[in-house]
Amino acid sequence: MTEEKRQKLQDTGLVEWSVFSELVAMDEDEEGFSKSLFQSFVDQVHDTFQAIDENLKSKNLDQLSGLGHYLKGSAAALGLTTISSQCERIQNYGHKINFDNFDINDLHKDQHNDTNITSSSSNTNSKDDSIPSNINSSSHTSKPTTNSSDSAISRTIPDENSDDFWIELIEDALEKARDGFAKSSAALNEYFDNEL
Amino acid sequence: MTLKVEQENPLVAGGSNQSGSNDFVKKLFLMLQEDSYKDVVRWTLNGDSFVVLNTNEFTKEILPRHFKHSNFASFVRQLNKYDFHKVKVSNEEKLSYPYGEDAWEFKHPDFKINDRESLENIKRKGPSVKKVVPVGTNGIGEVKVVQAPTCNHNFSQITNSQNHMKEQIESLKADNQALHQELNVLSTKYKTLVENIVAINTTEERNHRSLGILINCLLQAGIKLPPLDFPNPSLMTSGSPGTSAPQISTTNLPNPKFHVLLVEDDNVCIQLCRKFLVKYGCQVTVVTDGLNAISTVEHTKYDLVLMDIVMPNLDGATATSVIRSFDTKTPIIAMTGNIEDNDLVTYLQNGMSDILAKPFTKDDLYSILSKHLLTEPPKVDTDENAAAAIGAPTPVAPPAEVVSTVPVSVPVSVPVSVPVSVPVSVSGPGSVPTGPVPVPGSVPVSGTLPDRNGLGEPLKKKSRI
Repeated sequence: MTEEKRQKLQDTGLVEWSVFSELVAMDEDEEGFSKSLFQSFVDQVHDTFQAIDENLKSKNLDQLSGLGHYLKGSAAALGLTTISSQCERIQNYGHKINFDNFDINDLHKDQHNDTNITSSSSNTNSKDDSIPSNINSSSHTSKPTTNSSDSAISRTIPDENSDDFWIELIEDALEKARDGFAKSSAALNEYFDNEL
Repeated sequence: MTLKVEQENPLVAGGSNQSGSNDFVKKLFLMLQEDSYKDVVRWTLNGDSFVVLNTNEFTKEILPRHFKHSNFASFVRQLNKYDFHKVKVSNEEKLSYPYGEDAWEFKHPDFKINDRESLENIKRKGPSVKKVVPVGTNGIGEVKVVQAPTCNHNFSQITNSQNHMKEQIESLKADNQALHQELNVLSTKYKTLVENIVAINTTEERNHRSLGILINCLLQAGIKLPPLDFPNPSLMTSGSPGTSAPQISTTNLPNPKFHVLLVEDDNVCIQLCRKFLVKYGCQVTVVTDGLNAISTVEHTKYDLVLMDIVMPNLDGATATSVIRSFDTKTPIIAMTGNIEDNDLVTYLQNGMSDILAKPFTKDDLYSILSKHLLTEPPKVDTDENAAAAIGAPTPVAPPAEVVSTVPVSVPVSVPVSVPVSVPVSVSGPGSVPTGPVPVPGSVPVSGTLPDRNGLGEPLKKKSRI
């Protein structure tokens, strides 16, 4: 039974398997060790996400960077790469380093034309899909007119010198981190019998 | 770029100069070709020079008519400017010289009878140049000569700006030195400040501990106490989320091979790393910021310190450099996610013994542990541990009850069991951890427990860890 669960979790590809199996191996001396580890991680994520939200409001980039670094460490230690990579983005953007050359224009496109990132998240929360069809090609072909009006409506894109630019990038990273966390914790919850 | 332009300018100037001045030579040439004054001035027989036979007639008749010169000397000067030279006639030659004693013969390599084309090569020399241009390389020579003053000018300009730059460099050097000195002063001050803070922290903790013991005694003696605002100084540190966990805790093992201090602010990393360490056979003490790390290392000897870098209150790098001012031996391993070269150099400069990149696997950690722990005989330190641990709280523990517990712990050969067993007798109510449950307090000794329990602050750590 556990083998089955293991296989299922591994198949999601959400956790770095070499790290995870090492953690699980620790349960041999102390039952429930890995579970308690993930439990405290879940607590930590909730606290940190909340703190990030607050600092996004006050636009405190230094704090945001610190929080990104903080969560990155524990996410990476548990092999949750989808979360740690987004936290790394937050850490760097907080220091105004666009280390992955993220194009803010993509972000503005994404906001209007529901593309790959949000569409992948729609598996878990499909209620907020304003566009009926989620497949890129169809949304493009069916609504060519809205595209042009979208670009006219879209906010002015902040430039790299303003804090708003980095805040916007961090918001994007946080959104993706949340998404990664939602999926990872769902998969892990299944593994840990809904005890996270 | 500018130099090129300046080189070209004289050429242009020379060119315009030449066309104007060449008129003089051309006039002279035409006059000689006409041969209308052959008694006064004419080509020599060879045709490669001309001769003024009668300077008086030449000055009187020809100069006013053809040239602007008022006297012969001025005419000769003009000739010299075009690089004509008077042909010298030696005394012997004078006897056979066909043009008479008073004749002035002038020669220019490009001034020949019936040779109009060569005239173009004759150019006026630049002003104020005395040097005679070698014959044959005339064209180039002229350019060089015309350039010379500009070069001179450029040279002086360059020298000036060089001097200016030298001055600037000097002043920058001075500035730099001043800044360096200031920086040194500041970093010394900073270190002293950090050390002072650590010292104050330690004293605070000791006072807190003593007061806790006193309060306990009073309570046991049945004296009722007013409610006190008496927070634990080591818990007052502000930090990132999740650091509400106790600042200092020690995991005890029945037979530890090594005593390791883990300095880390991330709860998940603490749990994981502690687990790995315990499995390796280490007794682990955990502190969650740099300041506590310093004060903890100050009164307890550890076999190894694992130091996170980014932490609240004081970062690991600074903490390490402060620790190095009193402890040069204990291996301190930096645990960090920043593994860029610059950072690594900084860490090593701060006195870190090694670097463990985050996130690390169990094997990564174990190889570092083996590298730094297995090189020296591990046994001696347990005794030192006991001595250090006991040494620290003794001056702070005047109450008789507590003092009496200290000697009890001395004969025990394994000091690890001491912090767990001893407090039971001292502290009254409250949760007392037994077995390998973490014990709070920077020093795994009796003194740490009573204060917290006595204050009615039951440890909530158990739920956390």
